[in-house]
Amino acid sequence: MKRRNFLRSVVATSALAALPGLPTLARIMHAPDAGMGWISAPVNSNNNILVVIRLFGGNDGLNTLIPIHDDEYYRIRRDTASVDMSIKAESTLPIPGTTELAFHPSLKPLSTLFNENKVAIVQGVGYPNMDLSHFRGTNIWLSASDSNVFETTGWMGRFLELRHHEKLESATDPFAIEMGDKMGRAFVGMQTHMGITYETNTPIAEKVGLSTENILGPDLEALIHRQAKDGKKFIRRTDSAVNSVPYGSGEYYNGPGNFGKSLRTISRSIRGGLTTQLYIVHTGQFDTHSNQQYDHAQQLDEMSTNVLAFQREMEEAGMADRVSMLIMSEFGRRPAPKATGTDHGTAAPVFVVGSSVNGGLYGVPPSVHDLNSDGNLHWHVDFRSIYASALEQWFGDDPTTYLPSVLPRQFPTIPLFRTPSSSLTSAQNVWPSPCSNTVNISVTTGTTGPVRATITDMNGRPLRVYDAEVSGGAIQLNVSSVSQGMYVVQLASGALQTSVPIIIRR
Amino acid sequence: MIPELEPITASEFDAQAASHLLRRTVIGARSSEIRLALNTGLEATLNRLFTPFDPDRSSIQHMIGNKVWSESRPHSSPRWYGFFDEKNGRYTDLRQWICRNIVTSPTSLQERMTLMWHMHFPSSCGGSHFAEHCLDQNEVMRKLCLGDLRELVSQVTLGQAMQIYLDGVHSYWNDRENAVNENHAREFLEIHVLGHSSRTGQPLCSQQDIVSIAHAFTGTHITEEWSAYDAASDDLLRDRECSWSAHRWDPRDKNIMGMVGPWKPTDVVNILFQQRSSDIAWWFAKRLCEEFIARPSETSPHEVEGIADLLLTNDFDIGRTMRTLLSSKLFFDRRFRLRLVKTPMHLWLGSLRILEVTDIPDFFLDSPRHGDDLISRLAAFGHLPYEPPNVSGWHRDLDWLTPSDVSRRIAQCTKLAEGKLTFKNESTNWRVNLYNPVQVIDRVGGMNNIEALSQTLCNDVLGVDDTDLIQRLHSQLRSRPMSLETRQQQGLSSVMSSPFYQLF
Repeated sequence: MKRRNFLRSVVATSALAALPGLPTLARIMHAPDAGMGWISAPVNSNNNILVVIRLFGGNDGLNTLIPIHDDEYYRIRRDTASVDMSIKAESTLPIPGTTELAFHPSLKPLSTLFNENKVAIVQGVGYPNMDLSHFRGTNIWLSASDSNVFETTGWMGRFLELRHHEKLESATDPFAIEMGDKMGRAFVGMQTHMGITYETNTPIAEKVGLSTENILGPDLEALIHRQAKDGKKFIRRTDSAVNSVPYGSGEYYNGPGNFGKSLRTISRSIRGGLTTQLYIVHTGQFDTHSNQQYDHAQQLDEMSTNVLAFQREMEEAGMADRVSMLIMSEFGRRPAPKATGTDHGTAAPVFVVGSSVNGGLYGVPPSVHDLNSDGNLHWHVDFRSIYASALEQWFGDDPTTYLPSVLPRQFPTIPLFRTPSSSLTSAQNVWPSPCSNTVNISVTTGTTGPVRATITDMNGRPLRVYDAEVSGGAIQLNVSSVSQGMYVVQLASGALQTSVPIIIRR
Repeated sequence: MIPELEPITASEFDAQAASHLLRRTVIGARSSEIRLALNTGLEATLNRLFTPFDPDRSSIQHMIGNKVWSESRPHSSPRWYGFFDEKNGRYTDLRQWICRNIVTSPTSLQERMTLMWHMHFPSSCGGSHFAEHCLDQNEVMRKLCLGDLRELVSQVTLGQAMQIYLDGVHSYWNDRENAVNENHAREFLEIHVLGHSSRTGQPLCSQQDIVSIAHAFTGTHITEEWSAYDAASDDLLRDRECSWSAHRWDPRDKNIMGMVGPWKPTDVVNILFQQRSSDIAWWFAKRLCEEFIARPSETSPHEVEGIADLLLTNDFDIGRTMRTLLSSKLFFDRRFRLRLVKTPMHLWLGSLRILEVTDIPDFFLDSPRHGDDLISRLAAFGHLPYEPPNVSGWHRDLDWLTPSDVSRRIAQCTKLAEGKLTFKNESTNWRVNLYNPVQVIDRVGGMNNIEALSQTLCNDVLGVDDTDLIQRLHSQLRSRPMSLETRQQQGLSSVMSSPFYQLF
């Protein structure tokens, strides 16, 4: 089903689609050939932060985690007498818990964090029918779509939209930030862009000029108005947060691509109190078709040095428990080298870094003894399993919430994060739906009352406030005095908050 | 031909239609051009638009001749840095030339088409690439932008800029060593000529197709010839050019889309156009449609199919296809007017062209290569010629409208309209005001009459013929006593910071 058609079909029941003033990007954007469905579902919330680090170009997994005792690796990487793309075992760094694999010598900083149990390494990550184009591969990773689906939105954009749909008008902090001046697909939601690009000293519009909504129809014009307003608000707020704290003590590696500078700015924005939960920063030229030995070592050095510097700043600021990094690339590289480099390949490792991470090795390393017909490695873990793990364990979300709008279907999770969900609800249920006089809403096991429940209309205006006691893992609200229609129930208990759409029909 | 591609009648070519045609085909259509189009009619306007023009090449004369140079001195030598300064400076020369051509072009479709093809076939300066190779490619696009699509694809694909950008020059094969790089073949198929999937969602190429074409593409490499020794500066210069060598090419049979043979690079495009003409036509029809008609979600597959049929009927002649398209009911459909988002280049260079900022070319020419100039401003918006963010090129349409981008775009447009956008010449430390807004108002149609001024600004700068909007501007401009200059400046500021100004 086309996304726009799907949206039309659910517009009557989707709380999001009914929000007034919401830019209707979906109606005017290119519809994907097949897209994610959209559900209206309750969402949890916590204030955890994920910094996504994208290694552009396709990171060579085999030379990142080296199978030091595998003769076939050394044979296959030694293409000719003059070309040896292997990493010598004696130069590698040991990985505790395994004698089979070792870190590339440039990953000393990452190895330090691994030894502190702050790095989870998921091995052999990929997806069915991997696309080896940088553009398509990146699009698939950022959209979380299948390889035969051409999705124009990003999984993080959809997730944020689902989580924050009731705050689109009122938010003071950006929902997501892409470092640099070029916005990719990562934070594009079904209805609107959920992120901003950010660099210091970004100019902002003080006003929007001559306008009237009766010419183009409200969609494009409203979109531009809204984006200008949000851009001004979010950039000012980010500037303010970044400038409110000094530079940290992290020893960043400032390479040509500004990766270190970007991570440093992210650190300042987090320490400055910005509540933004998702960041994305791109680094590198991991597309090592030639001169791989030197270039790859440089790229890994820059990446891991900066990751360590950032982590240390978070630790010093006492914020490391709620900030994690996800380090990924659009594909790996082919085992057999070509001249002084390697071509695009398939499976590669993904790293999750942070104080709340369950450090260790996950999955099995892809084997150079078992290549596919194109000479590429077989993958074992679908990359969306990592996203599902982050959604559930890091952001405290639940499959009933994020499926199928954020991820296309359920993927097995991996215990990558130590922090349990700190959300108010876990198995979100609203019953009956539609309701008539009473409505029951389940809350997380262990939540003790009272729970402050506020029924608001779709403009966010509060209509009724209840202090409800939890009974049997749920609260019950008497809505008999509320007119028929669609509403949002905002739930709060201590620091935990969530919101749930309800429909009242009699 | 589908009915939607039938031409409009002469009576349908009214002021709004003329404005729409010029707005879509010229980057920064001027008031005078719109009025001339209305007065002379559609056919005469199309004749003007399809007339090629030869831009002034004096600022790039030192780059012409297909010779680029490198230096053999050690990296520690100060001269080595001088070499890089010169190399980078030439990128700037090229970009300034491209920008200046847009700003100073006559009424012609050529610049719009050239930019479109550059965005369709992105390649880059930087790294081991040389501005001279990119200049050659730009000249090919300029020459063939309305010519034979096969020839355009062939020359761009096998040209030096693309070969270097997509690693074709590092791809070779011989009995001892397989160094076949698939980058070029993959992007050629998936981004340049076929796309990822067919009309019915089926994959259009397999990994095997990519491998076969990659092997056929082998053999191109960079040659370096020692050619000059400049005793005065102690520089040893050499020329770098791409050439094809049989001993680097894989001579074995390859199966390309069902045709088996010892194919060479030059065979690939012909085979593709022979075996997959319908899919190629559909891919380029989609491109033309989203560039000139409307975004894909607003057009129907039937309409795209109609344009694809037109391309096939015209034997991939871009000019004939475009002429029909730009005369068609589909193109002039009112639903599609003022619905596409200007790219940053379109917004900035178009603004300069609308405002007839004639001192910009001189400023470009006299500017040192590292000034705070228009080029660096375009870079800040992520739309610098020959610097695509990735192999698929730059953003398109709504992708440009992120909150931060919209805010920045409107902020800069407001500054531009108010004459507050200054450029710093680093060598002289001059700050140069871009233009005098009052003079610009005079050029746009300067007038003391507030009503006429409001109408001119709305119609010609925004492309909106709406009574309410004109009335709103009129009220704004007469709301309080102000000098003529202030009034004109405020009017321009109001229209250029309007949401409509972001669209075309």
